Amino acid sequence: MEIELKYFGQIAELTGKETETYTTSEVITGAQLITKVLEKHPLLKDFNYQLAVNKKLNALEEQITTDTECALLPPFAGG
Amino acid sequence: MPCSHLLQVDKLSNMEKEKKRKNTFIDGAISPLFISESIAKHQSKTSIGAHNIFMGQVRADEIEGQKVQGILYSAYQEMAEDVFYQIRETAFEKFQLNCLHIYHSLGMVKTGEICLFVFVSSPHRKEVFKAIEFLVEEIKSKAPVFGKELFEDNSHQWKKNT
Repeated sequence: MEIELKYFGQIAELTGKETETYTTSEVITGAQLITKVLEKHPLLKDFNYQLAVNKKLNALEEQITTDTECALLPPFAGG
Repeated sequence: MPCSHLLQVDKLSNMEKEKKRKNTFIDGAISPLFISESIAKHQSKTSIGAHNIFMGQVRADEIEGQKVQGILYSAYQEMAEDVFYQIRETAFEKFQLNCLHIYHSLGMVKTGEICLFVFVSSPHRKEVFKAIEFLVEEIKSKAPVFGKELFEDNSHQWKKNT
């Protein structure tokens, strides 16, 4: 199945894209998705990112399928 | 009782609440005129005794000899609106407020311009002093908004809230 991951801010700049598709053979967790991201983009290894799954943080144990909304967020800078 | 132009949000079903969500984002800087018009709109709500407002302004930070010319704001908008909604709901539960508005810029905001406007109203002043600090700290720590600081020589760095 295909999982779409949105990138924002400095992460979009570093990866050069605003979204990227990851392919898996089964449902994965947030942590497993992060592993795939870091394999593809080792630049992000020491970067301070957060994963949002269905618009909620603390998502490393969340189950992710094709319909799940996922985003990788850099540090916040509102205000 | 919440501000009447929020409509009776607490009496609506969840689906109706979704439709009644405020739009927090504004294109470009928030003008002083917009702020004064917001104040004027509340003059008819005569149970209000105190307003408090916070304005975040883009500061001319100097980094390695280069001055910030402005900040280009972007956001994970759908998540940010959820976060702003939650922050508002929490503030209405914690504090005795008539009314509460949050506006944040998207796009380019130059040094000296306003990028965040928070406006609270209550019958009494103690509540608005506490509420405004709560709201600003929540917004700065939890809203998925991102800022690219642009320098005179067209270089940039990414803003991180502390």
